[in-house]
Amino acid sequence: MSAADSSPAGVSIRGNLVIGIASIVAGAVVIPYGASMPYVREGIPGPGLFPMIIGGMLIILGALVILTALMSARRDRIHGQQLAAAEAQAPPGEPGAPSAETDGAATGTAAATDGADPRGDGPGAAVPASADDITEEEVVTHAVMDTDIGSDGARRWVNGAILMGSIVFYVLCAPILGFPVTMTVVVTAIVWSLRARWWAAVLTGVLTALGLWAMFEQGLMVQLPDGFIRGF
Amino acid sequence: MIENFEGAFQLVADPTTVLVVVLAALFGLVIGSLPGMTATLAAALLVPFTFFLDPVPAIAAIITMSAMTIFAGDIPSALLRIPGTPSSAAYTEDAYALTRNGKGAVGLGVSLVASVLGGLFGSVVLTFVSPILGEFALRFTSYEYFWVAVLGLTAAVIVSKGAQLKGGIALMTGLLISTVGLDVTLGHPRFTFGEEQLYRGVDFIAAMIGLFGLSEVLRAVTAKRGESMPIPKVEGRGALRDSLTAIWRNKGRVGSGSVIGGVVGALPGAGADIAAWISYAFTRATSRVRKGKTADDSRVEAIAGASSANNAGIASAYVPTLAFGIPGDTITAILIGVLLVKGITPGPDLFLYQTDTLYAIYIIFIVANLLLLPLGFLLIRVSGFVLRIPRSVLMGLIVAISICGAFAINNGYLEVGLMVVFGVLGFLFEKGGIPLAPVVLGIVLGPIVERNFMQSVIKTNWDLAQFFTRPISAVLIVLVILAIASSPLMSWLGKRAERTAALKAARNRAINADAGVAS
Repeated sequence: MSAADSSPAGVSIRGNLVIGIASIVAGAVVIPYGASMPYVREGIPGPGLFPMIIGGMLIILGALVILTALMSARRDRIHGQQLAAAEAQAPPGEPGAPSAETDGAATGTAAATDGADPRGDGPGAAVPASADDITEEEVVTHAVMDTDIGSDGARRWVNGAILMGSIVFYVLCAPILGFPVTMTVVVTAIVWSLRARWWAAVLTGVLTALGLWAMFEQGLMVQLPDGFIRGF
Repeated sequence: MIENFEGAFQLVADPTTVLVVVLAALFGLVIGSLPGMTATLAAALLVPFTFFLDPVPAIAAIITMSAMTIFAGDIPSALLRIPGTPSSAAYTEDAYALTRNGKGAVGLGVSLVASVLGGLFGSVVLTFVSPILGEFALRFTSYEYFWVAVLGLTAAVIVSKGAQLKGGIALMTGLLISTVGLDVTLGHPRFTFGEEQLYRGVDFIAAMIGLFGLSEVLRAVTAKRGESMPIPKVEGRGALRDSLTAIWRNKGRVGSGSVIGGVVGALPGAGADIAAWISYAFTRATSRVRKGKTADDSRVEAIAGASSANNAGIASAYVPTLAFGIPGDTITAILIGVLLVKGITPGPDLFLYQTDTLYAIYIIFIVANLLLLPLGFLLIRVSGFVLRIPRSVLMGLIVAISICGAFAINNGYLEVGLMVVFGVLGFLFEKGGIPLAPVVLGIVLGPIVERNFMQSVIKTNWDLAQFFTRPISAVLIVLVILAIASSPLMSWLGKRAERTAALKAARNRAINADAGVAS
């Protein structure tokens, strides 16, 4: 959930290659589609021109992504070798943890290429800790945050499937069962799959469905699907 | 000017507007203080509701919400060491250290008052700078609009954190999505695959809800199991007086932060987070060591500078939005989408024909920032409770609102389907480290770029030289080229310097070691 998860630093070379190839494929599909429409007729640009330009850009950018991924992998490998060679001459007991440094260079194009912080003034610029700072262990706390909705192993993908499946369920069943019932089921299923207690999940589901029903039907005058419940 | 303000004031003082502003403020404060929930997510969830409001309350809701969210993002920074929104990332370490030292309430109080002052400064910048630019924009023709839109697009790519190439791919994806539907010149259906409902194009709001709402939920539920975090206690009593004293002591910092925020925020494509980083770096670099000045004092100083900058940036980001109709960041992009739906074209027309609405926007900014002061202190007091809202319940709520919002756009299921598609797309993009903001800008600016290009070409019968020889165009082109060239160059130099430094350090160690053995 933290910001670190979303940073591009964790993308591997293989991931970048996949992105590059996907981009090229997309471009290769778009260009003939654009060409099938009139793109220049009697000197007047037509609807096909713009998609063809975009397709071309997608191919170029995709190729560049692949190229830079390969090049940065090569540079980092060479750099890693040089660094290792230099480290090898240094005696092992040296302060400054040389092993950590080599690890960083060898494993990660990630940290070096994509750069967690492109502006170059990362947390390193923060005010340095001083002696009278209170350490993390001594902090007075009064509650625990309930952030924990992630799971381990296959359960993660089951939860993802429940989420997407419930939306599909809504699209299929809302016209028949009506908004209140369908939405209650959808919300209850999602909340329950995230390890909430069953009564909390049902309560959330019912209240959300009724609240949104009131807000959209009464307040905003949107006609939500009624299903078999009529007369509101 | 005075009579304009009178008319605008009546628009703002309307009871519906007041109610909407208060509700949007509370919504923004709650969403902003939850880590992982960004201002963009809040805006995407808010848009379906603004759909049914008059233009002024709709704009008011988005503006108030964004001002609140940016401050509220400081709460989890201080309490959990996780920035609530990217704009708070610059000073998260400092805010958290203050909390550990028992000064959390003062830290948050300073950040609140600095935010309010910065926001007010940004509003003043907006009020006085946007008319000047608007007047300049009156002389624009389709060539200039083409280049301004291109500048907006390039800026979007440049600020893509980390990888500009991926930003480019994201932008092209957005542009491609914008071409779906009937085309501007011949009304030829494109990428509709025989689906008549797609003739009117991919609905912008459904795309937003999917990209920022659903994808966020998808990411959260498929995340690895994390640790539950303890929430430190914050003593709210007496914080107001201490914060005001601290602000007075750091008034220069608030001033410089506001100016930096006001300038940086107005650049297209930059935004509140970049303003905060620059102001933070500036404050730290110019911080003087004085006798009796503790580490905590420096932290308060840094927070005052950066926190005023991000709120000033929020307001001044509306300068290019209002004057040219070119969004400065994702939230202003969403706002442009809303304005277009409401039949208001952002840009010079606003300054000529819709001055009431324009002045209402200025007033709303000032009102929103003033409202932030009491509500912000309230939020600091109850922050512990807000952070304890169970995540599972929130996820259910977000999905429910997303479905309703997407459905309400056209009373149809196509938009719900589009939302799911964009949710998956956003999820995959995040996994691949592809930024989402350029996609949004591509969808918004795509039609503008295409239409102005087509118009210019048809007008001059393929005299492409016209794109480059007009004086205003030439200036804009230089800006575009500078923008494109500067960024990869900087990052390449940075990477090279980093590698050389590591190598040199290792070699030095080796040499020193040799010397040590020899002696």
